[in-house]
Amino acid sequence: MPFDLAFAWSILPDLLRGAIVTAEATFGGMALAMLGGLLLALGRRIGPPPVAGFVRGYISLVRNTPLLVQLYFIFYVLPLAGLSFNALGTGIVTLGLHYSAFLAEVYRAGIDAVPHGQWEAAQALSLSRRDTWRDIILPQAIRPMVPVFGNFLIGMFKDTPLLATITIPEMFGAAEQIAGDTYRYNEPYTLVGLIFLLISYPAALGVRGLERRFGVH
Amino acid sequence: MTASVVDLLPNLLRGATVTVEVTVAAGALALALSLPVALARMSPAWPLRVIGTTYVEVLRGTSALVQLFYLFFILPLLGIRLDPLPTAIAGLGLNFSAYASEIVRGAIAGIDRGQWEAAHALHLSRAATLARIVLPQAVAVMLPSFASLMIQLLKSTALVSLITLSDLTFSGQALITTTGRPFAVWGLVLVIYYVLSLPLAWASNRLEARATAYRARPAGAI
Amino acid sequence: MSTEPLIRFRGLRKAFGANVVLEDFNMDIADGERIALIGPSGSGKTTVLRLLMGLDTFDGGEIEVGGVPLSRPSEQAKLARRQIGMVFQHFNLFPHMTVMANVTEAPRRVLGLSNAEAQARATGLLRMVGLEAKLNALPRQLSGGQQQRVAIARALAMRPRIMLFDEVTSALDPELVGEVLRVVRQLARESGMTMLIVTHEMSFARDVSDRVVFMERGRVAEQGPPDMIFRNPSNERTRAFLQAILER
Ligand SMILES: Nc1ncnc2c1ncn2[C@@H]1O[C@H](COP(=O)(O)OP(=O)(O)OP(=O)(O)O)[C@@H](O)[C@H]1O
Ligand SMILES: [Mg+2]
Repeated sequence: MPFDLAFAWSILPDLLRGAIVTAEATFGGMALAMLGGLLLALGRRIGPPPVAGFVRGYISLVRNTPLLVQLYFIFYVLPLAGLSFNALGTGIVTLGLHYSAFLAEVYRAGIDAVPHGQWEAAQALSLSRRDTWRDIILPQAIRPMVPVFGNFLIGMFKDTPLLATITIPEMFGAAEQIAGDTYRYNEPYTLVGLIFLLISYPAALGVRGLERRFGVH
Repeated sequence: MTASVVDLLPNLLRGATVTVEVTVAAGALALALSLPVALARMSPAWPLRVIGTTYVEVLRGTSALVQLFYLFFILPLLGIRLDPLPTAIAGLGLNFSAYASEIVRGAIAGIDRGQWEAAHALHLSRAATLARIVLPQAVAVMLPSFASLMIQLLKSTALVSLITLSDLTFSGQALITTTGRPFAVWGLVLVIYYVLSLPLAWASNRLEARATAYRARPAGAI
Repeated sequence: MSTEPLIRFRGLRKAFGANVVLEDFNMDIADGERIALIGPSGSGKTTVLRLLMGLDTFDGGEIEVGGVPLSRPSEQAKLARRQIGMVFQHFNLFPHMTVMANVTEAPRRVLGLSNAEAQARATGLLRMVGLEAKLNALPRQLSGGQQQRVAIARALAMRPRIMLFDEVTSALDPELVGEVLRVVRQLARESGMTMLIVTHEMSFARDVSDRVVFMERGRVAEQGPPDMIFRNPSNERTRAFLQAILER
C-alpha cells in the first residue's frame, strides 16, 4: 500500500482548513453544552415538578440515542418547524444539545458534592437563595468539574467527523472530499487519523494533569 | 398518519436487528480483547506495556468513524476484502476494546493492595492470585461500567450506516427518500434506539446497586 | 534449640526514595523463639516483616531462613519462604469467599491438598480459633475480631514454621482486642512455632515473648528478656518510649 508523501503534503492545507471548522464546531458545541447542561441541572434540581420531570425524560432520551440520528433529526426536522440554520449552525446546536444532557449529570454530581454545611452556613448568614447558588455553591461545585469538562471536550472533538454527513466541511469531510475526487484513500484518512491523535492525546494528558491538580480521583 | 407509521415499522425493525447484531458481536469482541490488553498495560515487562498503551491510546485518540473508514477503504488496498458487516464489527469492536480494557485496568487497580499481599503471604502464584482473588472481585466493579459502555456501543453502531450497512439508521435514511417524512421516520428511529437501550440501562443500574452493596465496608474494620 | 539461627538478618538496608527506613539492621532468631518487636511509629517494624515475607525487596544486606539467602529469587528461596505465614493489621480476608474458602484456598492451590483434606484441616483450625459456627459466613458478616481470627486460621492452614503478626489488634474496636490476643497467646504457648510479633500492646508483648526487641530509626536499639526490658531498660530511648506508652 503506497503512501505518497508528496500527495499527502499537497492535501494538508485542505485538511487544516477543515480542522478550523472542526475547532469552531467543537468549541461552539461545548459552550452551548456547558450552558445547556447547567440549565438542565438547575431545572431538574429547583424547577417545579413538571419541569424537573420533563428534564429527566429529556436527559434520558438524549443520552441513550445516537448523536448521528439526532443530527439527522435536527437537520431535517428543524426546517419543517420554520427554524433554519446553516449546516454548521445545525451541527453546533446538535453537539450542544447532545452533550448538554451529559454535562447536566456532571453539574448535578458536582452540586451534590458540595457539603451540606455550606448551605447551612449561607442560610445562617441570611444569603438569598440566588446569592447562595451564585457565590457559594456553584463556584465550589465547578472546580472539580473542570477536568471532566476537559474529557467531554475531547469526546466532542472526536465526534465532529459525524458533521460531514450533513455537508459541514470539517476536517473529516475535507478528507472524504479528497478521497472522492482522487480515489486515493490512504493519505487523507491516515492524515486525519494522525491529526486527531496529535491533538487528542496531548489534550488527554493535559486533562490528567488537571485531574491531579484539582485533586479528583 | 397512524397507518403510515405502522407501515414504516417493519423496515425499521429489520434494520434494528442488524443494529442489535453489530452491537452484540462488536461488544463480544471488545470484551474478549479487554482483559489481555489490560494485562499487557499492567505488565512488569516494558515492551508489553508499550504495546498495550499504544494500542489503547491510538484507538482512543482517533475518532471511531475515522477508524471505520480506514478499515473500509484501506483494508482492500492491502488485499483484505471484508464485507461491511465484519468490517463494522471489527472496527467498533477494536475501538471499544480500548475503552473496555481501561475499565478492566481500573477495576484491577482498584482492588486493595492488601489482597495481593495476603495472597502472596499464602504463597499463591501471581496467576492464581489474579484468577482466584483479584478478578472475581474486580468483575463486580466492572460490570456496571460494561453495561454503560454497551449503551455507548449501541449508539455508535449508527456509524455503520455510513459504510453502507443497512442498520436501523440506514433504514431510516432509505425511508426518508421513499416517504419524504423526516419527522415521523427520525422520531421513530430515535424511539427504537431508546427502547433498545432500556435493558442495558436497567442492567447498569442493577449491577451498580449490587456492586455498591458488595463494596460496603466489613463490620469491625476501621 | 539448635545453635544455628533459623532466621538471620544481616546488615539489612531498605530505603523508599531518600527515606532510609532500615540501615544495618541485624537480628538472629532461633528456631521456636518468640520475639516481640516494639518501637515508635515509623521505626521500621512493619518493614522488617514485609521484607522477610517478600512483600518488598531490600536494597542491601541479607536475610537467611534456614541458611538460605533470600536476596536473589531462586527455587530454594521460594521453598524457604514457604515456611512463613503472616497476619496483617487489616486482616485482608478475601471478601468474595466464605470463611471456609478463605482457609482452604492456599492449601488446595499451593500444597495440592484435596478439597476434603483442606476442609478437615480448616475445620480443626477454625474450631481452635472459636469460629466453627461461621464456616459458611462471608467476611463482611463477621466482626473485626472474628475476621482477624479467620485470618490467623488461614495462615496456620499452610502449617508455617514461622508466623509474623503485624499489629494484629490495632484495627480492632477495643472490646474485640482480647479475643484475638487470646488466640495468639495460646499459639505462643502451645505451638512451638517461631513467632515474630509487632505490637503496641505492652503487657501482651511482655507475656507472649521470650525476647523483646526495641527498634528505633531502622536499627535494633535494645533487646533482652521481657522482664529486663520492661523493668529496667538500659537505653534512655527505650525508657522514654515505654514511659510515653504507659501514660496514654
Ligand atoms: N511503601 C512505602 N513507600 C514509602 N515509604 C514507606 C513505605 N512503607 C513504609 N514507608 C516508610 O518507612 C518508614 C517505616 O515504616 P514502617 O511501616 O516499617 O514503620 P512501623 O515501625 O511499622 O510504624 P507503625 O508503628 O506506625 O506501624 C516510615 O517512615 C514510612 O513512612
Ligand atoms: Mg507498622
